[in-house]
Amino acid sequence: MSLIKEIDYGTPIRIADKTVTLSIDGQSVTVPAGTSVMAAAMSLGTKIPKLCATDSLEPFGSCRLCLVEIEGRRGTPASCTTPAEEGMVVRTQSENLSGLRKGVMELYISDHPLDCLTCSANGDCELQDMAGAVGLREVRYGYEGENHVFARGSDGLANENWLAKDTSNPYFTYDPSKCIVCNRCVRACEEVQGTFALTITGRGFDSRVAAGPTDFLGSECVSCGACVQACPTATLIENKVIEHGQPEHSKVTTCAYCGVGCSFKAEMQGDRVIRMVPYKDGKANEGHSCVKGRFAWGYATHKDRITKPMIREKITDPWREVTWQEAIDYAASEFKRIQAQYGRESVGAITSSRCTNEEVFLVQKLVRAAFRNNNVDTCARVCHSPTGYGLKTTLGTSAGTQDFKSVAKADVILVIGANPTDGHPVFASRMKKRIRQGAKLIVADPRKIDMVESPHIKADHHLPLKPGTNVALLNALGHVVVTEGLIDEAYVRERCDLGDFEHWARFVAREENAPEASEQFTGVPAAEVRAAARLYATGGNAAIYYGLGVTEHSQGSTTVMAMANLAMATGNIGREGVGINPLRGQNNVQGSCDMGSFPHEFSGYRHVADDATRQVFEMMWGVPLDPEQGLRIPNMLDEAVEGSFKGLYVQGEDIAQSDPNTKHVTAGLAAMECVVIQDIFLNETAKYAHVFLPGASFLEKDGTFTNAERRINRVRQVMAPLSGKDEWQVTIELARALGYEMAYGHPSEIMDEIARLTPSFAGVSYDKLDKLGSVQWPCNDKAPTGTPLMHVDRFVRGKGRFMITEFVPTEERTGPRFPLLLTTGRILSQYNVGAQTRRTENSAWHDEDVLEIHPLDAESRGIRDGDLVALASRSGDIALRAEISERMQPGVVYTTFHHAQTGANVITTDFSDWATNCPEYKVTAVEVRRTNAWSSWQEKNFEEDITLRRIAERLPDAAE
Amino acid sequence: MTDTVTAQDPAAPQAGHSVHDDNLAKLLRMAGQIADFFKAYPEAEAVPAIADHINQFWTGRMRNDFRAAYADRADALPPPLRQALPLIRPARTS
Repeated sequence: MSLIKEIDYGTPIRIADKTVTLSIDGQSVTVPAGTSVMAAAMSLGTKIPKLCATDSLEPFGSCRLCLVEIEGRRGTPASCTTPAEEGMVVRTQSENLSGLRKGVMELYISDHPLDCLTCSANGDCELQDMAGAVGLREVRYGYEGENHVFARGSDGLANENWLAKDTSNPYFTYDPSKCIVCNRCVRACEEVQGTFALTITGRGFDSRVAAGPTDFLGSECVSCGACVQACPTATLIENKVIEHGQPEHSKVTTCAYCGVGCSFKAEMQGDRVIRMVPYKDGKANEGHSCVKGRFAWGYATHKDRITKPMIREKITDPWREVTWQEAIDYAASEFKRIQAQYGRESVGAITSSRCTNEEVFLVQKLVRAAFRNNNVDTCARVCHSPTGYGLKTTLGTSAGTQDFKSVAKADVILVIGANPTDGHPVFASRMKKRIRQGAKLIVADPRKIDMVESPHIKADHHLPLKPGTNVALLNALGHVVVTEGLIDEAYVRERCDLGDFEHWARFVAREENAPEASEQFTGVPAAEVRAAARLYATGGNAAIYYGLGVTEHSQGSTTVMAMANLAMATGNIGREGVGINPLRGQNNVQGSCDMGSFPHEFSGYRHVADDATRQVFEMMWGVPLDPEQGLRIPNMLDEAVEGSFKGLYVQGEDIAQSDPNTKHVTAGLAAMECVVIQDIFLNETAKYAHVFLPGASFLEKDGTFTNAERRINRVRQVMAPLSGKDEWQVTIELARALGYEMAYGHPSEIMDEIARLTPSFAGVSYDKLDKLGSVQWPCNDKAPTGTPLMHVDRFVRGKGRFMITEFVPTEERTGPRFPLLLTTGRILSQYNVGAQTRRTENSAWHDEDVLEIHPLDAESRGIRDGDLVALASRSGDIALRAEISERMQPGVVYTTFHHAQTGANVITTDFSDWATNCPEYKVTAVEVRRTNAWSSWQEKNFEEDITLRRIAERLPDAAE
Repeated sequence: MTDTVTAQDPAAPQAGHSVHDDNLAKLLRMAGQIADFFKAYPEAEAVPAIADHINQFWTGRMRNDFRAAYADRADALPPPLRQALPLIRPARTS
């Protein structure tokens, strides 16, 4: 094994229809027009010395090291800024060039510390490499002159040019004494990340990289790591490298945080991760990363990891560590006992959106083939189930329509109910790049999120609707499109069902759907809605990106259908740059749905009542399968409280924190007789568990994750499972103990079975993934290398189906007791329930959930910034700190659910989407007042954090 | 926006009686929400669509409970649900 190094062409390889052919050092090379001489040379394998150039950034031409000679041109142009031309004759080496380069390096080194042997970048330093490449042997200027290197001069006096290290960021260090001011970090922050946190202060010799007027942690820096990645020296470097030294081997794997699914190189020393470096050839991220994937992986070896199986009879008993055999036998015997006593339907499972496709597939298989019912559901129930229902109804498949790259071709971007800079940061960087290039932007969101206005980004229209009125807003947009004659008639006639279209057109054209009429519900000025609709319909390629602000409503599915209506009516599905793009939350929530985690569907979204499909599974699995769909998560909990649902196997989910109306969730869990948790931590749900099966982190696994663009990426094991067992093996052993045999030697064999049973995965294999890097499903005979774009010539369902989407206000209403609306969401540095990110240094940015409240609402309640406030709804109440924020609109408050101790979901209600039961997290009527005490739920929870988590008997380490 | 179907049935099981009654009230609310979506369609389309949705997504027990609660008093259900009730399939017995 060795360290994977991607080729750095120095400047971006251009995409062009035209090519040019030139000669470099006597060799002929053909490249796309617009490619630099430097990149053309590198495509021949010729490395022209360089410092300020790297191919993730536009050429800059400042270091003067990459000079070349070109026949017929005067002087020595910089190869990074000189485009290759037809017939050009280039020389990259000559006496003259060599002398010039040595001279440049000599100047650089004269103001650089000579501590290479003890430098943290030793072995991975481009400055060192270039000194070697140009043959630098002496520095005639000496080191005593004016410099940035030494804290004190030889006279003992302080050197005013010297700056101390900035160690404020918990993950990397900025050492100004090593900086060569190549600007790569500043440009990466602008061009790649789009945050513009870094700058160069001063001029000439005084030029310094700075995070604005403050330190890195206090600045706008989002700690994405792009600057560290771009730095050619030890100036910006990971603290882990400072601590442990350079990694010696690496493997490409996939991040286990959000649904963007970034590819990373896990760079290792032995089985210790040194750093996670974004992989340039990863199609989802193309070399970019965010603070979570790049830096927040330390949880994987956190001391809180539970690595031994444990059982207990009652949840008030302390846990007892036991052998794997004992834990699995106990779980199996309990499930058998419960089924014998309460019936076959009395048990079920929840699959994890964080686990691999292969692990998820086995758990749902266990439910269907060993429990012999269909009581399996997954986290998508509470996030994107309406996407599945809405897109399948209108377009014929639940699939998001585009790949991420498509956004680079969008002319108008409509972001609705999504906060990509926090939730999907690496995709947000792509989106922001496109907007900086001139794409128009419409943001529909109750809050003034960062996409509305941030450096070099400004929404052309912000539609600050009231929570719960998405359908009214989308119908108003549709109304304008229909009544102002903005329909793409040719597209609709060719591709859509005309009868349904006419019904829809008549429906949205009704006066009640006019922006002027819906303003009373949405609160969005009609003129803005009209302008936004015109822009969307006529601005060129229009792409919708949406998130949980669409789905997590009583009318979540209706909203998805309303977006599909709008996109079909304007001809915006079926090519690059357009589409309806769900930004899915968790790393493998797409995959967990694909794998048959829903109680009514086998893998590939086929209903369990379909006899032909069921027979195929029955034949492969060798057991009769239940033709009746099973319970969804909320139904499981309802039946548990009622007393008919008694046993649950939870794979890597934490419903006691993540699901709405916590008291109802925990009442359901507490009523069960056997709850089995497979997880890496004793999470909130584990307080109610009887069996704990230690899981493995993504670093300990082989498998695949499927991201929000349907891309199947490999997850590769870089360290052995801390528990001694692969998760998929544990599921197999549980199935066996239940009397159902499963036999697989490796996750690749599970994928082979998935491919055999699932038409949209028929062409997927580990071999193919290793060859191609990744594929997007459907991947089969018709599309052997996968499908980046859906619905290209026709819709999957044949004709696109317009649905009538009447606005039905949620039953959750404000009133005198609860006059404000609470909407919940996420923040960049924390992830979901926080079980992972809270166990990293990310808490430096966000160590508690706060309540964002508009100044007017705060003032009328006498609330000052930082006050502890009580937040109460019809479901319950909690206390948390207030943060006064003009990002909010009056009447709406906001919080996150990342911290278990806050208990944000104590507040949320049982209301849910009409079609899928996806909970209405985004609309809860609340009241806020000052307080000086935690709520009674919080007090009880603090106590139970201890009483329900005791571990009494430890097994000696020697045991299994 | 027109009146919603999701009206409470005064004679229906109300929250607070027992857990079973709570759950029945939830089923009624869910059925009402489904009916609310389809009421924009002509009755001939809406009624089978409501039943089909319930048949596809509710478990056999949920369907049986709902059918049993309204078997003798379908009149208590608002119109589109009332017509859909006979089309709701009982649980398969296996």
